[in-house]
Amino acid sequence: MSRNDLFPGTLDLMILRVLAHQTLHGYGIAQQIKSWSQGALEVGEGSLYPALQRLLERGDARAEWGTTSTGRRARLYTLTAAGARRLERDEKAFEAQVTAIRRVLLAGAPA
Amino acid sequence: MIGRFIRRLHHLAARRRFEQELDEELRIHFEMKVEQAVASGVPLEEARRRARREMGNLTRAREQARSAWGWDWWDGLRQDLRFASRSLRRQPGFACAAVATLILGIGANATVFSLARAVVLDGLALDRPDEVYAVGDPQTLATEWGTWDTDGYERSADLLSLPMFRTLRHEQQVFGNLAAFSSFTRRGYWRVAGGDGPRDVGTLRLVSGNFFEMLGLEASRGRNLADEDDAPGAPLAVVVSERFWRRKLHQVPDVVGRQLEVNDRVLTVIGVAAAGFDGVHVDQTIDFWMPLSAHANLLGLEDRSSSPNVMWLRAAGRRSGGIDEGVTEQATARFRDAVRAEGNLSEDEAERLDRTVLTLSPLARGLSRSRHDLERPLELLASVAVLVLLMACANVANLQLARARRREREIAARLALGASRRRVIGQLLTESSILALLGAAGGLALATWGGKILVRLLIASDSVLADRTDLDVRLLAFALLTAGITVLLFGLVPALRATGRPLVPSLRDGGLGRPTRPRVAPGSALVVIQVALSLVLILAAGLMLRTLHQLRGIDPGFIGDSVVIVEIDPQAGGSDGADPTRLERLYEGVLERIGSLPGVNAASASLYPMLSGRGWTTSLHAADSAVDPEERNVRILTVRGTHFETFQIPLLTGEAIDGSEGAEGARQVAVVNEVMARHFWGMTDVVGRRFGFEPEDPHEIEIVGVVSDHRFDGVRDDIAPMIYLPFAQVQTPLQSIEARITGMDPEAALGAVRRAIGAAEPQLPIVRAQAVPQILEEQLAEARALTRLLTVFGLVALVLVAIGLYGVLSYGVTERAREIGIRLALGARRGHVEGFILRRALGLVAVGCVLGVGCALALARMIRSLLYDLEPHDPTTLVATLAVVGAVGLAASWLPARRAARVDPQRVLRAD
Repeated sequence: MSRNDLFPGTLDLMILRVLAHQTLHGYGIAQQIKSWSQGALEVGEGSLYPALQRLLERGDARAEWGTTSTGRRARLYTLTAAGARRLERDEKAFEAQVTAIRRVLLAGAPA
Repeated sequence: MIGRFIRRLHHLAARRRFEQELDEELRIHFEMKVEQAVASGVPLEEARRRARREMGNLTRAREQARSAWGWDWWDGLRQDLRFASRSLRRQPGFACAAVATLILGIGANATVFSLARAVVLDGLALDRPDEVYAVGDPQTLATEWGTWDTDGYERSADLLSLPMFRTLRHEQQVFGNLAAFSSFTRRGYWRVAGGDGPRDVGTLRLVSGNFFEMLGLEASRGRNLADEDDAPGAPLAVVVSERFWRRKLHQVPDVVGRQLEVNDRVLTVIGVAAAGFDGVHVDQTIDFWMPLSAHANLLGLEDRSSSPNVMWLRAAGRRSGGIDEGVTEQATARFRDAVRAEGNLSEDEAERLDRTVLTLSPLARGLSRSRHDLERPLELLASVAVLVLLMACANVANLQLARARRREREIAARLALGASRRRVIGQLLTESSILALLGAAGGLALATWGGKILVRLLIASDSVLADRTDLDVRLLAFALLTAGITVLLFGLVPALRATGRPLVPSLRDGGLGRPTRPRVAPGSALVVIQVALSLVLILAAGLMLRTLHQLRGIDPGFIGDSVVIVEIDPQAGGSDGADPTRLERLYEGVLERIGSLPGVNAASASLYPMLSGRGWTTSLHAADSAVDPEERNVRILTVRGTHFETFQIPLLTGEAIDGSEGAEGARQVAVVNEVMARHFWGMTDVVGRRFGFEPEDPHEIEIVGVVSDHRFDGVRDDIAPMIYLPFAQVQTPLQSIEARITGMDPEAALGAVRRAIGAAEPQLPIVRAQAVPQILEEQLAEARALTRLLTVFGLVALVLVAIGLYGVLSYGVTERAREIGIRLALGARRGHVEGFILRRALGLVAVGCVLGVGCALALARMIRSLLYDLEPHDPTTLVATLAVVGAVGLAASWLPARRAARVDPQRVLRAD
């Protein structure tokens, strides 16, 4: 699935989930999403960095320059308390929406 | 929420660092990508190439990252401002023309607004001003008089007597607090008690004890008047205005308790009024407020102030809860009861009382004589200002259109590259806004300066209203609002048009290859509107010019050259001011002195100065007259000395009087004017006829002479029936000393007369001294001021029209340069081409004129009352106006026509 087909806000949600797991830099976040989705979702820089800025502006994440495990200098993103709250809220909402859509699709599916 | 806003601000402040960090992040991302590819076996170069291709153009990513912080609109605005100012600086001619035009348009409106604000909008600084109401009609309240029972029907009562006020105050339940103030002001000749220097003059008004309390004003020093000061026998107290204390008493800190000598009486200053309060009348400044009971002491008349027959008070009160019909009825009922309680009502009077109603007018905005007088000129000025603004906008819109046309390619390129139409329009509007704001700034400066001039021209050169035309929040808001409207008017349409054109032709050759469509270009429509508007303005100016000319040509009925009038105040000296013996001595002494001056042909004294607008009106009765009982009013002028000779008023039949006739026991005589004779008896030879003032009087006054009519009230006013009575017969204090002096210039003559008066009566105050020609000129002041203003506006309009027409025509020539070139190449004669342009110009002007004449006729009523002996559709003026506008149109089209004729076909037909 190309990145243009994602429902709005789901990218932000996934990034939050990644950050809930560990503090990470941009490239790492993209890799993590790709890995967890078993290759289905490839997040390009054009979507990733704007999304990260959105998170920063909303206060859901914090960014600091630091060093990675491999000793390279990178900008590391950490989940904030507000971000954790939003993650929980949006996850529930997402689940509810998907369930609802699934129901519609199943009900209208040819017998 | 707050945290978010702070974060956003932080981002805005640290923009550059943000960009740098993002760049670095993206670089690191790239390197990590390469690293991983290499780690999975891809050679370095290949990995690099692949990564570069995948990451591609990051401009969009950067843009979106930036957008996340929500400052896009700010970035856009800054960009637009920078671009707009650069663009305007590159074309300074356009920018200057546009801004200058806008300054004129916005400035004209702001000026009129500041005057309107001072006269109409401003109010009194009272406590809860909306609760205060005055008894009477707002127009009458501003004057010193009451409304006459003119149509015999309902009469509004707006003057009360002192006993009536006291009863009403006690009995009425409509107002929480009812106060009174004298309907007139008096001059107070004052100096600090105990001094003997010259006296200065101030204005005083009498008020009831609860006046300040009712208005809700606090004294700024000491205390205000209170009821105990208004009791008979109370020590004489006065409250001075803050302005008076500041300017005339030099802000002495211990003013409370000081004593002032006013009109020869010693008073104690008990307080200074609240700052900014100059009285209830907006265009008058009061210096002293004294209690009503001080009347007898100060004004030099017999003490009739407590008489129930002397109505001299106005009432005002505070009432919360508004006024409706029920309240007015209640108030009227109470009033009628109060009057009846006085007793002594004749049947006639009782009947009139039942027809009397009270009108209650809000006092929040104060009373103003000028407000009423200025209604018509203000209306006219406001309309004119709006017209000028519309013309200015039309002009600038035209300039904008022409400019946008030249930028068509640039705009097309931007749209083609992906700029949204909204952004481009935004940029164009930013440019317009800069122009409008500059115009507003200049217009405000123009307004503060112009407002004062307007006040001086239209009201009086020393009016306190001139202070109120300064810049304040409202004026600023008005200027900005006008600027905003102008942007919409002149900026939006060109912007929409400029961005709405099809892109490909615009990109290809700037649109010059398009066939010209035969529809009417908006530029032409604007010029037509401008011609129409300027026609209206020029017509108005022309009409006023002719009116002024007519006014100057009015024959006043007397010869004013070489005559000077000195206005005196014989009653200033206190209660003996009206003593007849003393007055006789005064006039005898003064006139004798003046008579002995060199060059004096005649000297006299009369009741009121000529053309002062003041007059003594009363009704008279003549048994053998067939005149309508309702129309028996005449003006009376008491004279002493050779009044008719001084003014060279011709005697038609009989003999003149010299003021010494009619003394005790002698026969009572009078001289009348033609209007009076014809009005009462239908003919002019009325010598020998008799009349009286009361119906029961024996008609003992015999007419001994008839003089020719002359203007008395004002140069423009109709001549009223007049009777002239000798001073010895009716000893009213005469306020005008007149002399005809030849062989001296007016200044010298005035000086000589003043000195003579000063020598004869050193304590006699001189109120004013003017030569009669000057008085006549002043009568025309309003007409002159309006004429000047309209002429200025009219000329401005003509200039705008010329520029506008020139712009549209030359733009048309540029647009059709190719077409013209082709025609010339095919053999058309240059004369034809010129003629074509000229015809086009005249066509626009003609349509504009027709439109303009229509508008002018529609707006005629606004100017009709200001004209004298002239109709708004006066043919001569109309023809002259058309000629002027036509000539300007031709002149403006001359240059574009010549340019069209000189188009070089070769140059134009080559690729652009």
